[in-house]
Amino acid sequence: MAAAAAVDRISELPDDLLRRVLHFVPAKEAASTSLLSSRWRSLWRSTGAVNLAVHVRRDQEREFFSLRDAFVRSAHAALAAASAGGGHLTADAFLHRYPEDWERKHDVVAGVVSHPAARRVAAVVVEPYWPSFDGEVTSSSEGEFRLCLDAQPSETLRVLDLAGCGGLSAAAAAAAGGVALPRLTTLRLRLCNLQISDLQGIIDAAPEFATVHLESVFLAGTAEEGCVRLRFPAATTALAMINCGADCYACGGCYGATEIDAPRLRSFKYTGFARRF
Amino acid sequence: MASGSGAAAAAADAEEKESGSRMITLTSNEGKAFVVTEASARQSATIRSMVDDGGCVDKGFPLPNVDSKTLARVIQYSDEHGNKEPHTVDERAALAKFDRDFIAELDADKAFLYDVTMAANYLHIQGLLALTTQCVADTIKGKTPEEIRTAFGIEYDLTAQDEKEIKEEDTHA
Repeated sequence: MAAAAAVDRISELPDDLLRRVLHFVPAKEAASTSLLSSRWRSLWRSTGAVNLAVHVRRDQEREFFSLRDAFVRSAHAALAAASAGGGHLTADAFLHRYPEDWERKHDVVAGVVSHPAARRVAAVVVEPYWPSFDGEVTSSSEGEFRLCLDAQPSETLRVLDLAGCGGLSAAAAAAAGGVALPRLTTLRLRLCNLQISDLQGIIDAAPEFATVHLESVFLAGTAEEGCVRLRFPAATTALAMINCGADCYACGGCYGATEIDAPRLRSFKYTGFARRF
Repeated sequence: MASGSGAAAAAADAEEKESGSRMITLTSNEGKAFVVTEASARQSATIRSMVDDGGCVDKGFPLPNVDSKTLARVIQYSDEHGNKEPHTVDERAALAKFDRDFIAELDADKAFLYDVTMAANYLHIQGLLALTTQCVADTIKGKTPEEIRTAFGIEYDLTAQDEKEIKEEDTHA
């Protein structure tokens, strides 16, 4: 195996595996792999994946707006390129250092995913660059952006994976009683801060939800109920709640009951651990 | 498996039968047999469906596409993930650490990493496949095409004309 480095083994991997690899690579580098060799030339275009990544470091704060504009431009271009198939949109990373800047910046992610080309994406993954986070969230751990699914494509959306989201809604669609997200099966939220009614709205709009994963999610608006009450469709088979918090905990005593249609999940702990059905 | 005695062992036995936790033999393309728990084998969707379809569990499963060295490594992963279900935060953290160490070791031997990736793909072990493909992706991240070529030993075979075309059709590259 010592000589292995000199031999190009990676190019021997089948196309589908290399596409899988490219799914995990930010769009900029993924696109540049078309310049590697003739073997790689058309691979990236066929992944249907757009993995958008930009990291705004503290020392780049002053350049934020030019970086942001460049990001949005490249994001739209990448989306347009990838929209031929059922795309896979991964917006990877915004580091917003200063709370006072949130208002000005949080529209970036929404601006990108509301692009017409995003209408056909199958998965939206937003993962801010954030130091690893342990322990329970409180209402002070703010989300970084808001996302309104009403403006979103939904016919093809299958996976919604968000981290650092400060607001999420499909209110208009839910109010209209329509099934806005007919194919959405997986919801994964991390480090998010949501109104419980909004979360319920999303769940109601997606009858095919199979997997729900909530990690370090703070649920607001539960105080009047006194506990966490969520209704899941019959399709839901897996539910995990890890290190979640809710404002009703402030009143003490109530560790919440979560109701689901099929099996019931009860009394998940305040400090949080996962339970699966 | 802890080797209990008497009643404890009998109870464990009964429990094993009840949960369908049989032992399963996997055979590499070199004919070497590996005996694993059914829970471990079920990490592989390929084997899982064969078992559930009433495949001949007793005869074992030959894996003509996987060599012994690779299979041993894959089993190391599926044992860890199949034989224990993490319930507590600590257990989850321990499993995450296992994954990190596992992939760090593989990353040091790229050729072997590809073998394991191919095996995970063939056996449909989703967790392992995600781990290995993410690892390859991490090597690409933050590199120029030239650096990626060097990292993987990819031979540059594009003409200047090719390169020009690619750059034109793609504003990213």
